[in-house]
Amino acid sequence: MELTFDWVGFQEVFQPRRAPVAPTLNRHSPIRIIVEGQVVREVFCEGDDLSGWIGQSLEQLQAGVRGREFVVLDREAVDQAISRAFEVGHFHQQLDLLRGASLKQAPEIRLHGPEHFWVEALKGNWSKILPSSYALFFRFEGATAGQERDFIVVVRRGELAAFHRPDLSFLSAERKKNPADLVKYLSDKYLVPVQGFFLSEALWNQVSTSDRPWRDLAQAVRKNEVRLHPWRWSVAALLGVRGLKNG
Amino acid sequence: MVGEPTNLRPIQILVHYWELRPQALAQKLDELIRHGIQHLATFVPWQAVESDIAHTLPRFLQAARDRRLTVSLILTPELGVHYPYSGLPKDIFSQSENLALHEGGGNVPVLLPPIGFALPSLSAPEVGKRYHNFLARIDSLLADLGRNQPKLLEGVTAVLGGGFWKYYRDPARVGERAFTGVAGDFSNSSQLSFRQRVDQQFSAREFQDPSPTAAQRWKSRALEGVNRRWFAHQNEEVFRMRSSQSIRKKALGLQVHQAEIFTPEADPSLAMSRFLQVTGGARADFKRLSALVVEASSRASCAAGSAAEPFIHWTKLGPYRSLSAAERQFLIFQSLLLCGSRGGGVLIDEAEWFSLSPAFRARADGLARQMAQGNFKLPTAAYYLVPHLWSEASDPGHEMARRLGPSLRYASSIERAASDTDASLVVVDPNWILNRDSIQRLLSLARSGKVVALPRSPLYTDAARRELAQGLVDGPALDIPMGVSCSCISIGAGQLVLFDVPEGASEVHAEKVRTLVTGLLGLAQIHPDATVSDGRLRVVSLKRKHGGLGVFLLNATQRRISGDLYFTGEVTISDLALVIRSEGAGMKKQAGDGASSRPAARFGLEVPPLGILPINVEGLGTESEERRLAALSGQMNESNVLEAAASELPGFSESGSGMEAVWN
Repeated sequence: MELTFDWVGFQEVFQPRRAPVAPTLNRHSPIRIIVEGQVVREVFCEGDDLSGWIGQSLEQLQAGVRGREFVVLDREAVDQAISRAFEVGHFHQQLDLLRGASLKQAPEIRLHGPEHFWVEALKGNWSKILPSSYALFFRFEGATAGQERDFIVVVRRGELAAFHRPDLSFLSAERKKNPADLVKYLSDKYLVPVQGFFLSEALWNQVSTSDRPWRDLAQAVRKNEVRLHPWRWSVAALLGVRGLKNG
Repeated sequence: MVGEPTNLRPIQILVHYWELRPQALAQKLDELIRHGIQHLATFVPWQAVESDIAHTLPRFLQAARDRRLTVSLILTPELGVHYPYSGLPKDIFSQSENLALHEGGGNVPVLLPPIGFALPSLSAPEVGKRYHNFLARIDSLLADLGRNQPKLLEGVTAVLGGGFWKYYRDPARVGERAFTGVAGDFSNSSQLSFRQRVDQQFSAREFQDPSPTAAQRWKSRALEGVNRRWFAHQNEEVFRMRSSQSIRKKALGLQVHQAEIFTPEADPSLAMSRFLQVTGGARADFKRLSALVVEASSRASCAAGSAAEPFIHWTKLGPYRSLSAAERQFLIFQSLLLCGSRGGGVLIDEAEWFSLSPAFRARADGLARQMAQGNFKLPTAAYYLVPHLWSEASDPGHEMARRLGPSLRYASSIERAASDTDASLVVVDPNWILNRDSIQRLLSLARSGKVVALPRSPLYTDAARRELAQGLVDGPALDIPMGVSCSCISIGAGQLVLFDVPEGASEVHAEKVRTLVTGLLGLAQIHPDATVSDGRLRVVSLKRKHGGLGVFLLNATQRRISGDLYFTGEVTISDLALVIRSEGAGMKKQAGDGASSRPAARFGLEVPPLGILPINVEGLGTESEERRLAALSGQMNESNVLEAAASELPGFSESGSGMEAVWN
């Protein structure tokens, strides 16, 4: 069975594991708190153990942990945000709603990299430039032959309509290796134009965790380390512009 | 009768059969066999079964059988399944009356992909009906398979877990401990059922003694929390029992195992923290996950007369995934240590398992193999009987857990404590309702050689009080102050302690609880085999089959910790991994082996960040082992005598009253 939303695959591709924050860097991260009345119900800051403050008053916490930025959220609003999020059908939409609610409550909140740069682009302005429906096919080549990992993301009206490992069992071994055949097959199957990206797993991980992902990606395209199939000037130009603009 | 759990597979690899195409299925199974896997576990999502037009489950079982793989089918609804709504039908969630409510009146959120949802109520009639239809369908399916291919079911085991009951908790009521407040479903359907069950329970003659109006006392609002606890426990028992009955109506030859599957990532106590993590793009709270493993593994579930093996399920979906490799390895090893040595183990996604380093997998596999051979066992020194496993225990329970660590287990069934020959102390929580039957069983437990501590609470029925008074005529009561007033009575081979429930202001109260627990542990002669000087280190002492201990020092912090390890007497220590390896190679251990330390009672050790130090300990006194064997032989003698009497003496009954009638 081909899952419509293969969350495990999605996380592997778009949520690479990152290294823990060092305790010294941590001091710059805000402490996020959920309060009920003035009582701390939850407190979190990556790498810091603040659980001892749960059940104490917000004042006590703020007095006890000096020199730190606090982001305070109200429990009732958090409960409401979670309930509202459950009304939508997909986890990534639920996350968007939760992040939105969090920003609404605490506009000063910094969402440091919660979304992969590529997903952010797909949901953002790209929907105005690209066709209303299209698919992106990624083939990540491993260190040795036969270690490829495939993933396809179908986008409709700026929303992720499906993402999973495509079923290529109908293709012969030879056609599976041929990018043009692959893209054509997928395009026929999903009835949308498909843009294929062929690159190494290591390069993808490097770009995904980079501070300037678009620039790295654009450079890799220029060096032919990322191969586009079919070659579309518009897509290459879009990547180049993002590389220049966002660094 | 609660049996000693068997533990053939402490590490169970999860496969999501519904995601595998027929061609990929064969490839996947062949690949797993190449990796040495001989047993697979899989969840069976309701929704996948209801819409299984491609017969993926029979195909999977057939493919596994063809390759001589054995399979565990997890049939109860569990969390962390890679299927929308954890495999439950979506339409269940469209009606609010099908959703569970926690103590605070809100829904119980599960923030895990592929979709977050509010937990459904297993008490809701619609949910119950659908669930039993699903079980009936599975039963028919397995029966058909068994009829057509009798060999197919030989390697299949149906696993029944505890469902969602343990997750029905208020996410905002977390603090130092995960299991706080009263757990249970407070939805309308559950409330209705609660009222009916309370009426039914207290209409029993025992609760109407001395007059029918006495029943009102038990139904009063003051006892709402107490009643809620037993009701939640009963709900869980009934759920397990019905599940067990439904699944073997047609598939008679099917093996059924009871388990307690806990998915820490889905625990409601993490919901708020998870909200902060997902909105801030932060990594998971490792410390909380680790604490949840400890808490969950300390709960001894019991189902349909047998022990439910504790399993920790790590998904590839939730906060666990965001942890570093060292943290993930720590959690898996910790789960394996605490659950594998108690008859359960770890359930882990196959892709996640193979993403771990080969060295780690070899180490974990080695330990699991030792556990499967019965070479490591985590003995329970004491049981704390609570009316509901997943609700908060009273303070003596917390203090005992702090003092004894993994040697303490919470249980909601007297049989569970009675069947454990290692345990020498059983303490009853003040929220436990004591009736005549429970007093009889607790007295018999004390007579068998254990120390049984009962609170002097108002929750005794009159019949229970009479039964207790009658049982205590054996010997004089000795009043011993243990922070609170306590009476100690020798009864049979054991002792019964009646203690006042500690009360007072917080500091005074804490001191009373500490003194009480110290007294009880002293009376039961419970001394942890090994202790550490640094509270950040956790000690897990496993008993080895052929003598000695395997002591594991766990450092869940990101810093290197140096500390002292203390033993009750002089011992020698050595590297456990080396010892196991040499034993495996059939090498005989020489006296004065260079790898062993000099005998001492204190050792200075250093545990690396997120490290687990395995230590082989030899030379500890055999006193506790002798005590265990004496208790075991005592129990065997008793059952032999009863058996002989039942066959020789006409009219002999095994119940206490019957025996008295025969002998007096």
